[in-house]
Amino acid sequence: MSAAVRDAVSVAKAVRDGTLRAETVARDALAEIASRDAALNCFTAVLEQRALKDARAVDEAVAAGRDPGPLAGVPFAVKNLFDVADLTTVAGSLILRDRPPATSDGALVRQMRQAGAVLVGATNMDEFAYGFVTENSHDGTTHNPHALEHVAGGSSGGSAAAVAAGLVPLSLGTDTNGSIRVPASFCGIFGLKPTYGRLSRAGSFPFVGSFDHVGPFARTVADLSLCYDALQTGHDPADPGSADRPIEPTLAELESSIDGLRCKVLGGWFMSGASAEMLAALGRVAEALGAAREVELSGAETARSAAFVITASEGGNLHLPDLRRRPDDFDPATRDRLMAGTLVPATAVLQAQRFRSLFRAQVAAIFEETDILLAPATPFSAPRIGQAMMVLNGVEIPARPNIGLYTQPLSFIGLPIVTVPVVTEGLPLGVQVIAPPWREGLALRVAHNLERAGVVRAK
Amino acid sequence: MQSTIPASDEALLAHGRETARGIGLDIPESCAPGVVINLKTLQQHIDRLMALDLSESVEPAPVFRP
Repeated sequence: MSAAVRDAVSVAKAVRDGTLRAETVARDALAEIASRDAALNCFTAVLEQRALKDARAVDEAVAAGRDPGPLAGVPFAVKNLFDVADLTTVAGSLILRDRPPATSDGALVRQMRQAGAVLVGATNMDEFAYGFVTENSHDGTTHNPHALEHVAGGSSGGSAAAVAAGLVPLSLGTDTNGSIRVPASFCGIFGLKPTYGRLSRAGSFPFVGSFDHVGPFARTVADLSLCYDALQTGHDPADPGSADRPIEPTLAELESSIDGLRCKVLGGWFMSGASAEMLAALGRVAEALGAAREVELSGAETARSAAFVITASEGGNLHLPDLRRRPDDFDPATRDRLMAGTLVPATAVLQAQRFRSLFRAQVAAIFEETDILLAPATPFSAPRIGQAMMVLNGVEIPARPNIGLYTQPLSFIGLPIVTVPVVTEGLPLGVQVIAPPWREGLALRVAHNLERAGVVRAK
Repeated sequence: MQSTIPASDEALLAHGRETARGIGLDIPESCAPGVVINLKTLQQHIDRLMALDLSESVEPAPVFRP
């Protein structure tokens, strides 16, 4: 096994101990990418010179007896909407390609580097993060490492597939309506969408300010937790959505008991429309957590509609200048969605934002009597590339509009969620482990216990 | 070129184009079928939202902090 596919915890420990050189790890990761990414198309830019320079700096710190950071020498990749110094931030688009390179790293890239992690490249995504499949008309389709003819999910598909394929142990993505949780489910890895406002979005290209989140992917919960802890900065005035919260580390709490936790399965909307395989996977997670009871979250379908309307409207407004000037330079599917979004009546957007207040209060009441909620991450496993329709329980349904059924109502109110890959025979399936706001540590602890019990594991 | 959009879709498109003009946006013919499909999808979501009878005490979620 090459150093590239080792877990982040082990790599960082070995590099910090001086038994493994960060430069060796970086070279191994770059070699893996060079030999395997042509078939996967995870990366849109590979940063060999930067990676080797940063890795040598880590090795020098170790040699000099300085603390190289908790992620010393761990290779990572970022969705290509994060600013990376000297690289143009394209956000999956052609339109941004003629902009000058970023003059500095975005906030989370900077955090990773300060923690000793080594950036090896930028990854493919749906144009402007508006999609769930990473079939990008400019950069091509990212393939699912477990079945190349299937999608990796999106919009952070390149980041998820790179981790699933073992090209890097860690990567960063964004999640507005499910763009971390969907590809984590389809690729069979762990993904964390933190509470809205927890991690700084400064230096990342926006999509929908009301719901944009940033977060990590990993192959183990310990790696996910280690990375998440390194990403926390507390309040960042450079991000208007950044919350005034203290840094709350999670790694030390992973091993704590989850006895007595009140875990419940979200019923109603979240149980309808899922494949039999997904419901079986959810059932295994629920059984392991003793989540015998279901709780109904009424209004979930309306929450999805509200998320849909706000997304279309904010996204359309953001891109209106380019829709006017150069519509032919958009991916046609993105362009038509954004154009329609500019035409949403203001009163519908306000109604959606008012409903958001109501829905948030309803979920807060549920969390008075519940610690953890469970729901499928996706209704089904990864569709084939280009697949328009799915047959679900004998009924033919459009694939793409249904991928975010269970993720959209939850990011709508900014809850922290870990997607866990359930051990299955076929294509990967993920379940959402949902915690109350600001309780990422609790969701990670539950995920870690499920992993230790053998119920969930990266494929 | 003759539009292939059915009559009811043409009406939706005409309304969309009129609204788009108000924000300085032209909807080219090549975009029209895709825009119409998306407008119809959005309208279903808007209808669901506008059917809600929200109390006047319910304020929009984003809170402006001066």
